[in-house]
Amino acid sequence: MNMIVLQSLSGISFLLMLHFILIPPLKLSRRVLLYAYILFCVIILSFPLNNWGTPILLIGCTLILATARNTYRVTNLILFLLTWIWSVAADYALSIPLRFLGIDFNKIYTVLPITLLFSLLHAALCILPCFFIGRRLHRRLETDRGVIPPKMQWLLFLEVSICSFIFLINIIFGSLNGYPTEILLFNGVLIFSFAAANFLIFLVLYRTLQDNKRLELKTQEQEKLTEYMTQLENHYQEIRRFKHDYINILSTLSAYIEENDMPRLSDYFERRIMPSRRLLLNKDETISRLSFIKVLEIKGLLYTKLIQAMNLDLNVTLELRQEITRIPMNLLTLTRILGIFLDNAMEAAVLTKERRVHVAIIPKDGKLFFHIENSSPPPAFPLEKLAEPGVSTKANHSGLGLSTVRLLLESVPCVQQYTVYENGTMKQILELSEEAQKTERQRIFPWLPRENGAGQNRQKGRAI
Amino acid sequence: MIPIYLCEDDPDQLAILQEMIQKYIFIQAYDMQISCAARSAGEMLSAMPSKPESAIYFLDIQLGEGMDGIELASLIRRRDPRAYIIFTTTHSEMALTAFRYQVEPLDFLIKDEAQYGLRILHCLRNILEKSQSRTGPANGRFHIRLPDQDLFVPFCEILCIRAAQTHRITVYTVRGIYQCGGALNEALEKLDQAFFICHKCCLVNTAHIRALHRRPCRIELDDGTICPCAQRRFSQLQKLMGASA
Repeated sequence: MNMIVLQSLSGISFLLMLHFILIPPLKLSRRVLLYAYILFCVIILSFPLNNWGTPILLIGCTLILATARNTYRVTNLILFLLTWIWSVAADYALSIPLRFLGIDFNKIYTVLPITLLFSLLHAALCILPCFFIGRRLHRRLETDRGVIPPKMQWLLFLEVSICSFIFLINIIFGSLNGYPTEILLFNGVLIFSFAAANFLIFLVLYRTLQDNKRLELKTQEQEKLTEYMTQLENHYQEIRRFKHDYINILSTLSAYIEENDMPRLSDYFERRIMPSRRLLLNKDETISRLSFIKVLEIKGLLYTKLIQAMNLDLNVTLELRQEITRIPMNLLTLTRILGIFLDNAMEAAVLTKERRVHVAIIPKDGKLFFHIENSSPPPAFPLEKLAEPGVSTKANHSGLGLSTVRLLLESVPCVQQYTVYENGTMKQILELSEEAQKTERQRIFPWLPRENGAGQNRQKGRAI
Repeated sequence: MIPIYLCEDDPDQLAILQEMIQKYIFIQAYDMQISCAARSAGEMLSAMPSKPESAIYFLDIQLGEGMDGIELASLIRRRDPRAYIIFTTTHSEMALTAFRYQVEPLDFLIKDEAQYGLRILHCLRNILEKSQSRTGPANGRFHIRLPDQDLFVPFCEILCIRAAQTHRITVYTVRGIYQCGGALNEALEKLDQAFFICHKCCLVNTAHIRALHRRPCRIELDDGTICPCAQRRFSQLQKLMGASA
């Protein structure tokens, strides 16, 4: 009787742990299958099979998660095993002190209040960290995508499964011998040291990969800047040629004027000068305006996107009249957001007749506005839905752009976003205020609430 | 009586503008009058009174030597924050967005376009509506503050307002879609009884409801868009609609 209670409670707490930890896009049917299987194994199979039920549980769940088709498949597998290891570790963390306090272990199975106490303590120790860590993890994964390459993910999964396998063997043999204290202690020490070592390795790995990613981005930027410099040099050469031609033309004209040769003068003018009215193309104007941006990351990004847009034959214009030397916001985040907005703008503009994309950076009253405007067909979804993951107007598209923007904006205080669709024009406006810089510090204790709170965001730009 | 100031350095263009405005004022019997037709920025500035009077200014961007239209506009904006500024220009490629933010002009008119006259009329009408909503009680219009424009949308033009994420709302009107910060209950306070919160993330204007559907509960609006509706509010909404029908 008590065993049933114990097993059901542990099954349910395992379920809840997984619910908080596993990464969202997981189909409902698969979730239900997973949870049902877990409950089946934990409550029903454990009686005949005792501890042999655990490998069946693990292998079954691994199969269920491995056959799910979503982006976080491997991460979910790793997280599942880690959750199981944590659950076992919590079990040990509770039983070892009890052993030392001299409490008979069998009492847990026979006396109902102690069973309940044990299960509840175990549940609290398991579920609460999962809840908090789960939230942070999901947010981190959205903003730090692609840091861990797939091959590395599979390797991590292999490592975690080997660890789980070792623990499993230990537990099974331990149970066969009736859980003597020495084995229990040994297992506990083994698990904790393994866990600590793994955690450290993982942390170092993650930092290294993040640094790698950063380096990669810096290299890309360098390449963009070199390209930009080459373009500038080409322009300079063109201008030199133009000056040269101009001087030639002027001297020919002056010769005709000196000789008062009107017919040949007008003929020369019609022939040489009017047709080749080499006005500076709009393209050059736009690119040359980029010189006003002194912030290299944004300059590089805008340059790439503008060239991309021109290659797509869009009417691109850049509006920038003042020098921009500092931007009160995390530049990596801003680059990503602007990149997504510009990609969306270009993709919408190609579908219209005007094919217009206009980018403006406007400082005003101590705030900086990024204004991206483009001709666009009417949005197929209500605007709020567009910011949900998986929603996209384009076929075979992940639809994660605007939802990533939303998550990124949540991580940055004091940046307001406005979206307007009117008269066939879509506008995305970002408003950056100076205070953003002051609160954008490294947070040592991330689980404590921000000093200004999310409330800061609410004071700006409301619909009055 | 709303005074109108013109500033244009080309005398022919100035004469054309003056004529057209006077014609429209006369035909439509607007309560407006041309106070000054200046040929340069200096002339205009000396003709302006020192106290703000929410006047209308038609400014040419290229004003020859001296100050150009943009600088003049910022000076005017400083002296008269609620003035209506309209730029006229021959260049359609002039960068426009920054001016919307800094000077907040009402509109840009292109002189050699065929619809120049019509656009002038449109501006004057727009100004009249805006000034009436400003001086009259603030009801009847919903204020949306965007960085590049300040919108006063008449209630009858709002189709529905939906909540998006934390503290962001999307206002769907007949003219366009606007997304900015705000909350549904705050918006409801500013609106009239025709508006009804039909779902925790949606507020609908009952004047624009075309049909109510059951199973699943949803509301169809005049332009075909579907709004979600909570089960509990459905019957309330039906009663509301029945009462007004």
